Amino acid sequence: MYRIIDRPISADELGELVADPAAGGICVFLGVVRDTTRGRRVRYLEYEAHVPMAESKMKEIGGELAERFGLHRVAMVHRIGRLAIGEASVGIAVAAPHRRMAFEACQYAIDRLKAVVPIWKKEVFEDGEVWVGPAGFPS
Amino acid sequence: MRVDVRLFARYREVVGVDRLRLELPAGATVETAWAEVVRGYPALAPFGPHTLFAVGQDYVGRDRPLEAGEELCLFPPVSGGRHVSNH
Repeated sequence: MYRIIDRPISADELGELVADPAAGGICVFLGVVRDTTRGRRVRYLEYEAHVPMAESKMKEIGGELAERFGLHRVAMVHRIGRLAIGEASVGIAVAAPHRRMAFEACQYAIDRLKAVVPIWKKEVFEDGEVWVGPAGFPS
Repeated sequence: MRVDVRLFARYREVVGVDRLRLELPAGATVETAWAEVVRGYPALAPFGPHTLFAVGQDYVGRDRPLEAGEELCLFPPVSGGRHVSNH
C-alpha cells in the first residue's frame, strides 16, 4: 500500500498490512515531529504533497525494494496537513525473511522517499515559519 | 500554445496562486516556461537553481519540450532536502 493520508498513522496497521507467514522480521519505521529544529521551538508542522505523483513515486520505491532485496511486502504512508509534536508524518513497514534485510530495506525506503517523493514541510515556530529546503535555498 | 503551470508549497505562497496559464511559442521547453513564469513573478528568480520540474507523474529536465495543453509542475526541493532531477 502506498498512500498519502490526512489522518493519524498507525504502526500496528502498517505492520498488519505486510504480515507474511514467510517473514522472520517486520521493520516498521515512523518519522515523527520533533519539538526543536536548529535550536528553535517548533509549534507544529504543515505537510503538503503532489498527491498522485507522491503515491506513484512511493510505488516506484516499492518496485526498487522488490528489485534490490526481493521483498514484496511493503507499506508506505505519508501524512499531510497540520501535525503536532510527536505525531508521525511518515510510516514504512517492510517484511523480510530475516531481520537484517528488513532493517536495510526500511532504511533504503525512507532515504529514497526523502529524496524523490514530492512532499514539502513547513516548520511553524513560536516566532515565524519556514519551508524546509537544502542549504542555499532562499529563505 | 497554452501550457498550465501548477505551483507547490513555497512557490504557491510566493506567487499567491496555485495555478498559472502560459502562452508559449511552439517548441517551448520547460526552461522557456520557467523563464516566462519568472518574468511575471520576479520574486521566484532566486529559486531557479533549486527548482524541480514534473509533467504528469515524473520529473523532467529543463530541456524537455512541452506540448500544448500539458501541465507543468514547479516544485521546491522535496522535504528531505536532497536535490534530484533524474528520477
